[in-house]
Amino acid sequence: MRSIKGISVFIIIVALFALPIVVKDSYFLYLAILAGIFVILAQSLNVIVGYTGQMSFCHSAFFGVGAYTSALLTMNLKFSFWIALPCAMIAGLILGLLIGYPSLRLRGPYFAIVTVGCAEVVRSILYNWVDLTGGPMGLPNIPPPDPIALGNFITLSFDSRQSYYYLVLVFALFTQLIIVKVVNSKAGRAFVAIREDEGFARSIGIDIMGYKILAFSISAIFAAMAGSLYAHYILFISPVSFTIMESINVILMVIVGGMGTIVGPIFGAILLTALPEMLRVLSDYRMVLYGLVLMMVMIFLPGGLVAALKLSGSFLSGAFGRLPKGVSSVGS
Amino acid sequence: METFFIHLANGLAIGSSYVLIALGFTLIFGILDIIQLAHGEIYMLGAYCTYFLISLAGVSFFPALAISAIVIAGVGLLLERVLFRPLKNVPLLNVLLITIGLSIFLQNGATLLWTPEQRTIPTPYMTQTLRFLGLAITVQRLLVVVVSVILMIAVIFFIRHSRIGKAMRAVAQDKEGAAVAGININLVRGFTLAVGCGLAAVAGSLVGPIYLVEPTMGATPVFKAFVIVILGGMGSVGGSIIGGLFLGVIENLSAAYISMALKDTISFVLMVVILWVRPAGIFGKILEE
Amino acid sequence: MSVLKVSNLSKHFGGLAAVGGVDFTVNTGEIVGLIGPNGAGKTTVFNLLTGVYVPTHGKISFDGMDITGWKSQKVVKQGLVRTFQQTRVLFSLPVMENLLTGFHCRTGSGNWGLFWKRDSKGTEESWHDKALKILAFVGLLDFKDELAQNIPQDAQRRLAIAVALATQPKMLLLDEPTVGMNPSETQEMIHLIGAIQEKGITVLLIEHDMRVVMGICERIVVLNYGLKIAEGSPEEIRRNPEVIAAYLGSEESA
Repeated sequence: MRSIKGISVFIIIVALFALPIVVKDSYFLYLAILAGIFVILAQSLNVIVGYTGQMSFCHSAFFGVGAYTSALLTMNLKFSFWIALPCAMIAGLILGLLIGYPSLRLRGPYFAIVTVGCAEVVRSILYNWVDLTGGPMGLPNIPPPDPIALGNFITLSFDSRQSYYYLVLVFALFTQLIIVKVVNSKAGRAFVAIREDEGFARSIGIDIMGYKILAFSISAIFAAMAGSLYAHYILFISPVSFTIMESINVILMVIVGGMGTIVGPIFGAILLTALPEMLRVLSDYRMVLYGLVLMMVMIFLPGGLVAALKLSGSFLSGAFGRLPKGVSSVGS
Repeated sequence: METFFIHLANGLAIGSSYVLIALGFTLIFGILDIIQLAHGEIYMLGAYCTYFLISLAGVSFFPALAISAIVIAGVGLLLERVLFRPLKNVPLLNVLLITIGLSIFLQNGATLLWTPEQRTIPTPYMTQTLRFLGLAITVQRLLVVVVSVILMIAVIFFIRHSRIGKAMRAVAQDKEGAAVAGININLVRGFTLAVGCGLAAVAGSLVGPIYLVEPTMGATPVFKAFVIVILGGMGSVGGSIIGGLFLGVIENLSAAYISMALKDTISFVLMVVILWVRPAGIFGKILEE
Repeated sequence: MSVLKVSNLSKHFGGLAAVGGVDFTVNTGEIVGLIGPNGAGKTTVFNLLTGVYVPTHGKISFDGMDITGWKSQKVVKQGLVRTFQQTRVLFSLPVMENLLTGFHCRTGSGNWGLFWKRDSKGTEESWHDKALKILAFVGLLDFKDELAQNIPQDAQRRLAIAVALATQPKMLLLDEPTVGMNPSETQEMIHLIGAIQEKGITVLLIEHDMRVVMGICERIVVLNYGLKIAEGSPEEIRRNPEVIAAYLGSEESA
């Protein structure tokens, strides 16, 4: 089973690299890049929400802080993108610690509500600190990543859609790799124990606060990274992209795909990036459907697509690992 | 100095509406164990109901308020029966997300039905003022405070002394024990949701004439209810009252004396600051087990 | 040689004293019983010992260290671990995973164990072997890949004990290990507790089943309304009029 898994992962990665060559449609590539950025967002959110079981609504804050930090460093301080991105990740880490340290002490629902507040505070700062962030006008003319020279002959530049696709793909694969490692490590085991029964985990010596903060920080760092990738692609950012609705969007991706599984968020991100576009025709009804979909999924299939695949008994079901408690049961 | 008192009065008015929203919210949590994130939309529906009663059916303000409260209480009963009762055993996290979905559905449904156009509930009380201690206060604002206070007292009295109030308290404390003692849990749940929704509807109707009625009007007030409840403790009636009034006043004063932009953010900033300083919330009930 | 010494231990909730001024000692290698009518404060004592509650007054000394007010994870690291009255394990995970989680505080790697791969060879394998040994010890080897929620109740109880043993404790606090068990299951539990003692682990045991208490406890501490009312050998306790009155009194009001 392991080698089948390995081969199929390899094939998928090759296919992903071959995609721009096979599919020439520019709009498709645009969606693919966006999907890649959202995969990073969904996977990172999955660490704190899916694996550690702490519902967080401030993912949009990390996304936004990452985007603005990276944009401002390249625009105002003339940093190279390649320095600005790690700086954005550090900014995300700092914000994650700032929010996480006082609030992760609280019981689940209270923590969730505090993250709502924090997301709102951050958005408000982005909106109101006009001198720094441009306020509601946003930041236009963000420079794309500067080219990298490899040796004397090859220069990688990132001003084309195709090249940016590869950039995002590499970062998404990198994120996936890190998160897989974390989830399969001793820390990952602690996360799951905390999610399943926090009091029990405490009684066998797991440092609850420490691991919660760790999970939260990891999610913040990668969300900020996604923010930077977003800013230097769309080349314009404004506070409307970093509201609580955005957080809910990512939460929906994680849930629809399958919370607490390693591939669920990937499905969710791709589906929820592609679907709104496909449903553009129904644009007025889009948000109404959105709310309905969220409710229906949570009521009837809280385990998301992964659970659906498992329940359908398809041969793929073994590949997806275990479902978290409360998610494997449908309804009541 | 006069302006200070006006700001204070306005703060108390808006704060009273917050109390009504927070009260419903906290009762629903205490008794049904549900964080009703669509509570803001209930508030919104109450405002719209009153608006249509007055502008389309020519009903005058107080009867419209009462009818709206009853109708929305009925919506609450329906919600309990159709949505929350089947979900009794579903984990809190899932229910939270379901109410978020409901909130999005209702907000956008309202936008589709009634357009994003901002409306005002027409009442004669907006133009009438009362001279009180040398200040001119809009009667509508006074109404908000008076009606809210009456309802607050009614709720407290009711919970303490009526049979169903005692049943509510029993269920809030120990669901299984209450069931064993013969209390009809479903009845209590439905009643709580009806009362909570009714209170929210009244809040929306009272505030509607002062601020604008539009589909997203419930989003920020419900977040403020969260803040109030975080600080006062979920399920605490006293906490909701003190917290609501306090928040309303602080908001108005900081908007007036520091910055208008802060008006909505101050509540969240306050919450974060207080949590840094006193992690257990003001009444010390929200820490991890 | 005392491994646990509790002095003047008290816990007040608001005005209510759940535990008031309790003193007792447990010596290394003993099996001591903590008994008393319902509501006497026995589980509260466990909560105080393991850092779930902070004592209002008093001192707890474990293995020579003053652990009063220590947080749970520190207490477990020091070698004191407890089970819960209502069996608590990670139900949606396999038995084996539960055990491996129990080793968490002993695997001692840096960086929070972030990059310490679960399935790498070498160290992980030896933990795997250790887990198998513990499972064999408690009699759960057959269930090792079963989900904890799918094994019988008494097996779940033994799993909770196995996970506690995985933390490599010096002392084990068992909260009503035989509640709800039939006589043969109870016999097996008695046997298991004896085997735990043979491994050199000290045991403090909350129990209601008097046959178990009289059978394996070398000494017994009796609580009533949060106060210690007696301490001694099973024979002494059995004949102690205050103890008898406490239980009879609780029976009358039951």
